[in-house]
Amino acid sequence: MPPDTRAKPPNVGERYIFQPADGVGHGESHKGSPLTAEMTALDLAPGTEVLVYEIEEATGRPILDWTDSTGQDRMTSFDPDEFSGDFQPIP
Amino acid sequence: MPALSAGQIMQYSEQQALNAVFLKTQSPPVAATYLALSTTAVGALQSTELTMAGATINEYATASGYARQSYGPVAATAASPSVIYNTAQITWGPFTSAPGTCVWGIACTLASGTTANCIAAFLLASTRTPAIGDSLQAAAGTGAAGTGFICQV
Repeated sequence: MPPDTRAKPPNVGERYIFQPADGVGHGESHKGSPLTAEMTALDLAPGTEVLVYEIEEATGRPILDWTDSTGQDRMTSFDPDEFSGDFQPIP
Repeated sequence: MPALSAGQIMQYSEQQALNAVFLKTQSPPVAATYLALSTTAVGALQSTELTMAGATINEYATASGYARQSYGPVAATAASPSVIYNTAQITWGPFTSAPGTCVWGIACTLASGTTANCIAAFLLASTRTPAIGDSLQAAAGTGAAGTGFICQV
């Protein structure tokens, strides 16, 4: 059995790198097709570092703080299962 | 109950402001504030909603990838009327499912959860309906009416 490389459930204050298996941005992955150039610039891109800002109490969804390609500070809610597969912890 | 038909401070912050300026209580400590998005129809959002649990709040669901964003306002301007507004562009998303039509921005006290207190509501100049993969962006305020999320006492 191959080793489980999935990220553990995150804790507030931890930092991770977005490394999705499909190699495309978060929004583009969900859409299933390329985004416009404007939306691509605002998408959560592979290689982006995120900070776990908060865990939503009612759902357990991590709220991630990150900076997009235009330099804007952003917060995005993430599905916990999806998070486990798409992020790698920063030691 | 008074329904909001334009942006204004809501009951929780009306009480805080009056108690502070008439020296009845200490002002609350400095803290971050956040901007939520709401699908409530114009005229249906009640200014008496104290928290984001209110029946007329109708915030976007986090299951769509949505999360509240930092409001990041300037200090209240030295002018009369004094105003406060966001200093940077604010962007929500990317959305992983269609979150519905956004009508209002609601400033509140917490990054998530329904216990957040409502501070002020801002009616969007035009509604927006982001699709899957989209991000939704608001302009930085300048202090001029109609630009950014501006609040006036």
